[in-house]
Amino acid sequence: MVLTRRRLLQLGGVSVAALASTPIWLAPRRAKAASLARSPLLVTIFLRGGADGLHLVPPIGDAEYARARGPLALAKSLPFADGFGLHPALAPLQPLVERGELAAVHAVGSDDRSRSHFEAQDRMELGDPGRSEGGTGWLARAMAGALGADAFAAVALSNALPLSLYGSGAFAIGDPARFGLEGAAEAARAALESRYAAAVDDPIARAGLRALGALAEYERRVGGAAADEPPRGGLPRERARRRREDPPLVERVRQLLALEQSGLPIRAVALECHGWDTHQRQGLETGAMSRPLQDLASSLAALSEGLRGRRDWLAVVMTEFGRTVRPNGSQGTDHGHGSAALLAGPRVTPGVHGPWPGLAETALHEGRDLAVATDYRHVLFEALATHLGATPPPQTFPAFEAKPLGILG
Amino acid sequence: MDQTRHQDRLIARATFGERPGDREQIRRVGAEAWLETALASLPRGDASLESRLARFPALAYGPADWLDAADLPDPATTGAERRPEALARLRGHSVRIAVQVAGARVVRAVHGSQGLREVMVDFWANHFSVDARKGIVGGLLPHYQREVLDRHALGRFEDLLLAVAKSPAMLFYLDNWSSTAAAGGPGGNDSEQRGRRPRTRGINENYARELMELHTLGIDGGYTQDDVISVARALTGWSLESRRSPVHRFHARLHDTGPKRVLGEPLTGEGEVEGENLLRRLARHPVTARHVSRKLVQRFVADTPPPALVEKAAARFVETEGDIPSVLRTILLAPELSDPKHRKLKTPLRLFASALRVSGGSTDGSEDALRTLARMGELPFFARTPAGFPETSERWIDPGAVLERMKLAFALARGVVPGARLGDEGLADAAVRGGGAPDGLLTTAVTLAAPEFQWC
Repeated sequence: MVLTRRRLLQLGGVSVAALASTPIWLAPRRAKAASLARSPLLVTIFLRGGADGLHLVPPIGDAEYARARGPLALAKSLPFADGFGLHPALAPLQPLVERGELAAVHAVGSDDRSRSHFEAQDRMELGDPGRSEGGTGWLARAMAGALGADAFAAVALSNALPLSLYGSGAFAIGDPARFGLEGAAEAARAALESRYAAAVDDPIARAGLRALGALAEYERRVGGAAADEPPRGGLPRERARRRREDPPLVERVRQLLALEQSGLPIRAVALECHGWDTHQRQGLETGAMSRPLQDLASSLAALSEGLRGRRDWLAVVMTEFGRTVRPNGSQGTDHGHGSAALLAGPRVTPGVHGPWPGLAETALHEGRDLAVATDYRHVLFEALATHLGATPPPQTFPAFEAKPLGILG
Repeated sequence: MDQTRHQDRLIARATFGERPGDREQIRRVGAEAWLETALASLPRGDASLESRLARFPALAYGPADWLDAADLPDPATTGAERRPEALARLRGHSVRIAVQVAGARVVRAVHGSQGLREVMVDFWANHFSVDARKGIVGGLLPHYQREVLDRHALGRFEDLLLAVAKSPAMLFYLDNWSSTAAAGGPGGNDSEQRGRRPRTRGINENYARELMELHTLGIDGGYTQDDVISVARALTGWSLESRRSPVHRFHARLHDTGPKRVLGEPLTGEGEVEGENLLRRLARHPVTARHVSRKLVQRFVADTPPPALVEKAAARFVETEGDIPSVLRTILLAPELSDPKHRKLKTPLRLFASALRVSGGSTDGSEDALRTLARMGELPFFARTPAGFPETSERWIDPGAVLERMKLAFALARGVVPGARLGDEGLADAAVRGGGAPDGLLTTAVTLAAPEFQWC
């Protein structure tokens, strides 16, 4: 069923005036009334900057924990699994823990040893250690079939396309409310289309044609773009600016839910959040890491709440590497190796998975970092297999043999 | 070599885009003389710009001036600076200053007559990227822009590297200000220390790693984790004077005085000189020459840099001890520049600037104008990572991003981009060259959105 503004009007009894001022991406609950047949949804969340897995999922049961972490050992944590807690700032996740919707894989990571954000992120998102430039992303390869049939089968809600979706023709939607071509009439679009069609072997033209082709469907389902706001005097507040161009993860999740509710056939989405590169005053219960932790927890909670009653969704949270076990000279941590991955959704097997290498001096990677005991590709492969209901395409992770970890039921 | 094409490429890539009259000018004087004039430009030698920049008073701020203007409670007596609302006010003030400095960068890109200088400022701002969102970085940007980027953009790489290393903006952004000798280790004698002592002691690797990975040797430059640690130790004590006066200061008492080896060789000099010697050594290292030359060739010539030109530029870099104009001559006068198969995608800033420049249009660099660039992902000084904004086309092309380019074209054509107006020159000509399209507004929009206009 197609959800148009008119249809919305019939469903929700919303006034015309309200519709004019409240685009549907701001009103997901109203749209909820329409029980649309939806596709299973895979949400990937990349924590950029190298999130400290020992803070995300503190190994409080490890006898070495307090000694090894020193002043960064958390005295308090939320109950989670045998031997492991959750950082107190992840409190919004408690309902998920209670419902058995949260799992973690600890000591997870890649074999990248550079401790470079860029190398490690690229390698993980491409999922193909043989390639760096000109590669395609793991999610793009996994979703290639679906993307061929529908331009919105896999999307990123971000200002730039993440590498995990490279090479697939997938959209990065920076702002769903502005997605469209306001002020360009049919004739203008036709003129552009013929211009792009005439360009030979031009990636801009290819992407432009794909955009124009998909625009009609987006407008049909979600509605046209809002007009640009009129210029305002003075300097707007930083928060207002951030809300539009650089929203927190939780806002991205709200956008996702609204798009999904509109009937746009999204099957996989790539989200990301920043602020995890905690070299400085990482903190315990409070500090530099609490804000992104709260954002992450609220986001997963909002996702779980928004998809309540459905069993066909799964969120995977990953990061390029963990951080040093010991604090540095700035009450922060430097680039490390192993971290933790989180999985959320009704189909997870609750608890902490994967072998735990421990924090004993001799167990640490290069004497300073949590070791990697589980390759991140095992986690993603299992997530994909569950999501797709089938073995992921063999090219998803080239030259890699995934083994099931039993994270998902 | 096709001279005409070479000259056109010079204008397209060594400036933020062609302006009416630019082609005639370069045809008259030739590429070499044109380039010499561009390389001889001075940081504030563009009189026509000064009046447009007058709306950004923050450009003149020193690293501490703005703190006075922020009207903060005195932390010495009240400790109130750490209060969340005081911190939020400080950060808000810092970002508002950053918005002015970014606005000035955009105005300069659009209206600057010293195109190559503006492009090199942009290049170095990316190579030595700082993010205005972090802490007080925004408030330190006027100094960074003036004393680091403007002063050294066309100077020697070594001087630039040292200026960056000592800049409050970079010291704060990559945390080196808080990197100290380990407690109980050699050096780090804080008996003379006044005020609060740090609660923990030890190095912070952040700057040391990016210094080698991004600023000098490059990721495959052959350094190890031990080198990162040694570099961080050598730069302990490179910090700021105080919370109220965030200017560069070397604190000997926080410096690690123990012996160190980097890339297999012992470091020379003591105290601050040790770090300076190390930075000079890194700046002159042939691997750095290749890394920086490769990035320059990638910026000006092709996403996949022709190896022979990179080698030539790197050799020139080594020969001239990192004289940036000499390296630029090698690159910008090379036949590879005019090779038709080497296309460069305009980044959003260049797209925006080139549309205004080619039509004789204007921008005020206001926050409303900047919002357009922020949405397209290239607001100067707001890159998310120390690697800066991406350089290669593949990182800027997806259907959503191309849709944003179309929106910009239509919004400019309709005259609804806040703070920016197209002029009425040049576009008709560009439209003819691009193949043409029917009637006024539509012609302009389609010209600006056409594939041809996205490349340079």
